[in-house]
Amino acid sequence: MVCTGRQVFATLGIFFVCQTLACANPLRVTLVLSDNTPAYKELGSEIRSVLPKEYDLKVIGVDEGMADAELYIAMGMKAAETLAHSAKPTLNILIPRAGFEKLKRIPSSSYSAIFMDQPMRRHLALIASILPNATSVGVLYDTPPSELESLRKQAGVMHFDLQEQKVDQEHLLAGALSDLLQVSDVILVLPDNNIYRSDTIRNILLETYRAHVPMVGLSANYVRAGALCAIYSTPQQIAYQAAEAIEIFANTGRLPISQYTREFEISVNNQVARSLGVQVKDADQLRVEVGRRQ
Amino acid sequence: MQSYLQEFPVVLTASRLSQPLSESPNSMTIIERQMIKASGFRSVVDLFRLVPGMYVGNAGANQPFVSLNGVTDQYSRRMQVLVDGRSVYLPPFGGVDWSGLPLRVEDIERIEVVRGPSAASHGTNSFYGVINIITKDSAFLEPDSISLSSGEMGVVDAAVQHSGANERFDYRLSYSYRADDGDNPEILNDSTINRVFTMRSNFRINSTDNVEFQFGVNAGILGKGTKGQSDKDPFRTVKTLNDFQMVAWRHAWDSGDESKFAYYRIGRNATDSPKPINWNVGPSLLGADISQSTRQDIEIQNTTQLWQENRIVWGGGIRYDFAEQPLIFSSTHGLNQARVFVHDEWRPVEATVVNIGTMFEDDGAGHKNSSPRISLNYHIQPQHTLRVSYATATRNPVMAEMYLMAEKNQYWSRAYVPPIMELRPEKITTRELGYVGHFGELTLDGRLYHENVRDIIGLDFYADLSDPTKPSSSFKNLTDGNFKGLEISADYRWDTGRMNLNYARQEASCYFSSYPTQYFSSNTNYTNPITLGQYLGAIYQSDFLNLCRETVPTNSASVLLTQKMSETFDFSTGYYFRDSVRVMDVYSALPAESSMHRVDFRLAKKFGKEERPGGGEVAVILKNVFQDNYTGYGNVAQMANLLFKRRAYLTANIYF
Repeated sequence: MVCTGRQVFATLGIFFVCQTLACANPLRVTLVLSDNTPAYKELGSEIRSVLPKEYDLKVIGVDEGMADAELYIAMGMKAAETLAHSAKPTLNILIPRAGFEKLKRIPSSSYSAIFMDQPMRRHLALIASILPNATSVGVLYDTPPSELESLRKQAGVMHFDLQEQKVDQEHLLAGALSDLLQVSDVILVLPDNNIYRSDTIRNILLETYRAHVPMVGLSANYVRAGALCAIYSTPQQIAYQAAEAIEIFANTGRLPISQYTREFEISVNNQVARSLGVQVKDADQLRVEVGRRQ
Repeated sequence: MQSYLQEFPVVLTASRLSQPLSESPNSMTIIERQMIKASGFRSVVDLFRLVPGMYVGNAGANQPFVSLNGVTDQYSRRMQVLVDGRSVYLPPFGGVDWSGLPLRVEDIERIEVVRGPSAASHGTNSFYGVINIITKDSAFLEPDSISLSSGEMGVVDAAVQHSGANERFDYRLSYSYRADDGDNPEILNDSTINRVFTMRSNFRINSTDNVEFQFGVNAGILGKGTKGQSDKDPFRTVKTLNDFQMVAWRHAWDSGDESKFAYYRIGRNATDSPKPINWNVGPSLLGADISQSTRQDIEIQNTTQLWQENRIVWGGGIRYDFAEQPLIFSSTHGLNQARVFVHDEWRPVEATVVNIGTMFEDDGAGHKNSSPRISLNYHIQPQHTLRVSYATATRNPVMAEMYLMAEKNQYWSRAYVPPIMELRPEKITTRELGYVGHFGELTLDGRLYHENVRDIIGLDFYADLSDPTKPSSSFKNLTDGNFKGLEISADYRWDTGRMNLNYARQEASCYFSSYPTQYFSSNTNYTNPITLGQYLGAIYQSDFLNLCRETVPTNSASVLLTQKMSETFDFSTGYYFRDSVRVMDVYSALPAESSMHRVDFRLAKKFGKEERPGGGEVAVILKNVFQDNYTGYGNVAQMANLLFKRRAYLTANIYF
C-alpha cells in the first residue's frame, strides 16, 4: 500500500517557472555521486528527467575532477563532505539532516540541502494515526543520535511517553531490546547502523513480533522485512524538490534554505498489521492524517 | 545515510505471521511461552490441560495421550499434531509418542491448538483438531543456559542450551536429560529416561531466501509392566529411539508472496524385550518385539496475494509412511500418499472475512477424499467478531486398522485378523458458532459446536466357532457419533499478572452405523434364541454405545493465574477440573476415571535479569498441592489406586 505524492503539480510548477524565466540561459549543473550505487544513479536519472532539457547537466563521481559548473548537486555523504571543503555553490541531497549539520561549511544562499530523512514530528504523526492507542514509543540506540533532541521535544508536544534504551556493553542488543519491548507500545527505528543491520534485523523483528509490539521503520525496505509501516520520501519526490531548488537558483542565484522534503510516502505491511490486530487504514487516509498532524 | 537505503531480508514472511483469533476460521487456543513457564509442567502433553475440552491421560506416566472429543483410546489418532510443520503422528497406530518426541518443553515458543477440523490449512488427519507446536527460532539471541531440576518421584532433569549467530547463519543446540520414576511405581512400571538432542538453524542465502535446518533425536528408556501380571505384563524395559531431520527453504517474492519447500523425515524404533506371550499358560518369552516406523514428506506451499482483499495459500505434498513390527504384522507396510490443498482468505466487504478451502488426498490405500470447509467472520465492531463455520475432515484408516494380524493368546489375548470388508475413512462434519471479543485487557473467546462423526472405526469380532466366547478381532466402520458442546476461554492481563480461564461443557452420543460382526453365525449356543450377531450387538450396546456419553467429561475447566509478587518473586497457580470420564477402550467392568480437582503451585525467585547473562531463577513447583485423589486412565484392575500423588520439585536456570 503506497500513496503517491503530488508530482503532477510539481512538474507543472517547474514547467511554468522554466517558460517564464530561466530557459534563455540554461544553467550548468554537475551532479556529484558519492559512488555508483543504484540509489544514486536512480535519483540522478530522476533529476535529469525532471529538469528542462536545455540544462547542461553533467554527472560525475566524487573522485573525478570537478568540471566547471554554476551549481553542484552533492548526492550522498561522501560527495557532501568533498564539496564542503570548497566554496562552490552546492545543493546537498540524499543526506540526513544530522549528516548535513556535521559538515564544517556554513549553510548559506549558495549552500543548502534537502534532507533525506523525515522530521521526527512526521514519524510521531504516523504513529498517532496508525496506532491511536499507543502512548509509549520506544527507541533503541547505540550512540545517542542527533535526532534524539528533536524527538524528545516532539514526543512531549504530542503527548507520547518516550522510552529510550541504550545498547552498550552493559545492555547487549538482545537484553536492551527485551527491556524496551516491555515498556513500549511501538518501536520507532532511529538511524543507527550499529543496531539495525542486515544481520540483526531478523532477531529484532522476530523479537518485536513475539512481544506483539509493532515496529515503525525508516524506509520501504523495513516494511518489506516486517515492520508495520514507514514514512519516507521517494527518489522521485526528492528529485522534484531538488529540481525546484535548481530552478530557483537559476532564477535568483539563491538556493532555498535547507529543508525536509515536502512530499512523502507511507508504506504499510498489511499482513503484519492484521496479524498484530492493527486496524488497517487506507494509505491516502493515513497520508491526509499525517499531513494534518505534522 | 545507510540506514535509509539499507536492504533487509524479509523476516516476517506470510507463513510466520499467525492469523489473529478474530480472523481465524477455527476456534483456537494459544499457549504462549510465559504460560508454559507459569504452569510448571515438565511434559508437553500436560500443557494441553490449558485447552478447553481437551482430555489428557496416560497409559502409564511414560505413555501419555491427548484427545479432543470422546471416543478415543490410548493411541488417540484423530488429531493432526505438527511440530514446526512436521506431522508427528506415526504409523502404524496413528498416535503420537509424546514421551519420545525429540522436543524439549523449554524450546517451545508457542502452541496453537485448533479446535475443529482444519484439513485445508493443516493437512491430513486434522479431524477433531490440530496441535501446532512452534519452537523458538534460532535467530532469537538467547544467552546460553543450564537448567537443573530435582524432586520427588525421582525427578532428575538437566539441560544445556547454546546458540550462536553471524550475519548469515544462526543456530541453537540443546541437550537434555529427563528422568523420573513414573506416577505409581508400585503398580505400574512407568519410569522414564529421555536423552534429547536438538539442533535448529537458519542459513540466509540472500535477502529473499532462507533455509532452515533442524534435526533431533530422543533416546528413551521406558519402564513397562504391571504388578501382579508377571506372566502377561512383567516389569521390563522398552528402549525407544525417535529422530527427525528437516530442511525448509523459504523464498519471498517481490510482491510479498512467499513459497516454501520443505522435506522432513521422522522415525521411531522401539524394542520391547523380552515380550511376554501365552497369556493363559504362564510366562514364556517370544523374544524381542521390535517396531520401526518412518515418515518422509515433501511439501510445497505458496502464499499468493491475488488482490488486496484476497490471499490464497495453496500447494501439495507427497508422503511415504513405512511400518514394520513382525509380531503383529505379517509383512512390512508402506503407503505412498499425495495431497493438494488450497485455502482462500477473502474480504469481500468491509468487516467480513471469508475463509474457504479444501484438501484433496489419496492415502495410498485406495481412499481418495476431499475435506472442504467454509467460515465467515464478521466484525460487528472492530473489537467484537462473530464466526459461523462449516467444516469437514476425513481420517483414513491407519495401518493397524487395516493390516493387524496376530494369533490368539500371543501378542494379545485376542486374535487379530485384517478386515474382510474394506474400511472406509471416517468423516466428520462440524457446525460452529463462535465469538471473539476484546474488552480492554480482557479477551473472550467462545464457541458452540455440533460435530457429527460417521463411520467411526472400532473393533469388530470374528466368530471363531471353536471357541465362540473368544472371537477374533478385526476393525470395522461401526458407529456414528454426535458431539456437541460449549467452550469459553477468557484471558485477562494486568500490570503485574495474568489470568487464563477455560471452560468446556460437552455431550457425546453414539449409535450403530452398521451392524457389528462381519461374520454372522447361526450358532445359538448363547442364551436362546439369539444369534452371535445379536449377542455381539447386545455387548456393543451395553459396553460401547451406552458408555459413549461417558467418553467426554460433562464439565471441565482450567485456570492459570500468574502474579508478580515483587521485583524478584513470581507466583503462579493452576487449577484443573473435570468431571468423571471414561476413555472408550477401558474395559467396561472397570470404573470410570473419577472427577479431578487439582491445584498446582509455582513460586520462583529471580536473580539478575531474566533470561540474560548472569541472570537466573530458582523455582519450587508443587503438583496436586491438596492431594486430590482423582484416578486416571487405566486398563488394569488396580486402576482405582492409580493416583497422581502430590509431588514437589525444585528447578534452577542459569544464563550466561
